Amino acid sequence: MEYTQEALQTFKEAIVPYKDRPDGLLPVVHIAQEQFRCVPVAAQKVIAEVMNVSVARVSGIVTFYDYFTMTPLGNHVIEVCVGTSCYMQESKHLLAVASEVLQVAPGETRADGEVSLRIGRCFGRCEHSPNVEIDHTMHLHVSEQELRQYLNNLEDHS
Amino acid sequence: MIQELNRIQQEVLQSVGNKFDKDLRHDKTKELRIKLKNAYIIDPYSIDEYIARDGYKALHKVLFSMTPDDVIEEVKKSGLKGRSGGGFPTGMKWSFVKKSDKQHYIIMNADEGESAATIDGVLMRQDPHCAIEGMIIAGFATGATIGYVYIRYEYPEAQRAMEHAIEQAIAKNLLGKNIMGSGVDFDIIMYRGAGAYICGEETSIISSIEGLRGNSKNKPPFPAIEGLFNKPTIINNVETLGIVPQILLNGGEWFASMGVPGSEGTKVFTLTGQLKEPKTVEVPLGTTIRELIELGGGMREGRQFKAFVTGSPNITMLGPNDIDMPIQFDTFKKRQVMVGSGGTVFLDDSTCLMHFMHFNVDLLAIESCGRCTPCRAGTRKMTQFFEKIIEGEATMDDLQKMKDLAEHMRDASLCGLGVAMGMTMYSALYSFEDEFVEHIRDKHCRCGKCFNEVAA
Repeated sequence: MEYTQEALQTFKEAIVPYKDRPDGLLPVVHIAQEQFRCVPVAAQKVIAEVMNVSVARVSGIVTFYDYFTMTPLGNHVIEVCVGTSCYMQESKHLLAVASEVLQVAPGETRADGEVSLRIGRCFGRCEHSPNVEIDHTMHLHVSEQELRQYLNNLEDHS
Repeated sequence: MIQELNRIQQEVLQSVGNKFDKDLRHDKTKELRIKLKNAYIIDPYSIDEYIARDGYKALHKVLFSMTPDDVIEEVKKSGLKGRSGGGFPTGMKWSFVKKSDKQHYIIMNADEGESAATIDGVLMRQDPHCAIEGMIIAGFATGATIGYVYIRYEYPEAQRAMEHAIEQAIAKNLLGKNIMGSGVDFDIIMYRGAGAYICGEETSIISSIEGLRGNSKNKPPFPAIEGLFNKPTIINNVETLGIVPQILLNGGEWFASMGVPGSEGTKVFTLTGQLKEPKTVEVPLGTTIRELIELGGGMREGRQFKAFVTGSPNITMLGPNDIDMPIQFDTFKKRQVMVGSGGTVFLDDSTCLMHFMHFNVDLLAIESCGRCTPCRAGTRKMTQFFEKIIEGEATMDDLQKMKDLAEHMRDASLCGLGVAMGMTMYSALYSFEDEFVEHIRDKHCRCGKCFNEVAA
């Protein structure tokens, strides 16, 4: 994917305030992930330049942490928790259902860029398992039927 | 300033009605809510309600009538041990910091990665000020003026509550420069993680804030000597810091009077798994597993208790014969079981232990930072071993190899993630060796889940 000079310039301006902070690298990568829905190599180069570190170091961070991606996330992000508590409540089945309904493999973004299906590792709501997060809204105690309904609503509106 | 706190307290108490009289204990006989005394009762977005429940009084007491050494002494007296798994005495940890004119740091470990634990999440969402107050006190005791709250990405709601609480505390001069006119400064920086389980390990948090991959570091030097940016750093968990204000306000002896000798105080547990009513409870240490099951409403209908699992994916477990064992640091340690962060999973007899182990070991293999070989290679070998069991291809020779591997991982791994593997295998084999042998030698799965196809 190509990024315009303008978008990269906006990004650069957003991260300049962090340039002298020794703890600034992770927050800056977060900003990139939010702006571009991923951290493309072009943004990594900007980060390296502003923060005065190597591109390799930035790339090392992007690839280490689960929430940073190199390809853009879809317009809708569905996250099915497969942490231990949810796993005990058969959430792997929910993940399979979501995968089938949305026609996308777990951990992937659909080719049309519309939806991403992510594998969650605990939202800290374990007493209400199984839990599913759809576009930053938490759904607790989700049944298969409810999940199908949420996902169908999502497709209708997109 | 204390007059101001008292005035707010009186005002709130007069206007609040009977809101604070709510008793939210699940079972009035066994639960003891001291860390959770405000959770689900006060409005987490109101600093005044926190103050009305004696909030920030401990901070006032500390700043105006105690020396840092007094504070450490009081915490030592309470017997408080770190509540995130290691169980290291908190007062002793604080005393390792050598006071100097270097910058010192406090890091609040709010990266509650254990995927069956929601203790820190509940505290930060429902009572954010208690941890903030505890953090300022910890800063005073160890000479730190900057505190980082390392919060995991998955907790946006907790992050909002904490950010709001920090703003409120600054507005009331309970945080920031010259706190309450005492001349003590303390600033808090919220720092968001990005979804790495290993970043709940203290040296990995340091790597992460320094802008590196979240790899764990060699110890020694311990963070108290050389931590964040090579400066003395104390890392405590949310639950640990959250109870500090009450210890200082009521005295170390008050806290030590709860629980049992060697395991003083209370512990918050998230009860999950195959219970009728999974929930978060706070009980004195020394409570038995059977009592926890009762708090969770009992096992599901028609099912028998099989295993009590602490932590996850770094699991250790106890079996049906241990149902009356009290939860204490010393008794658990003898059996190589961690009291852990408080995340617990109860398994009933419908769950195949091999599948459960495979699930957790697989997760560890994904989350291993990869820096040291015992953990990086060991977790993968372990995953393959459980896959072989499930497929019916493992041999008794493999089992012996895995026992050896687990011991090597325990002895040679850099940080807790790999070290715990030895404990995992030891505790699993201690209670469930017959189930391993059944699977490997007899190709029999008592739950009828193995030998068909590889676990999805």
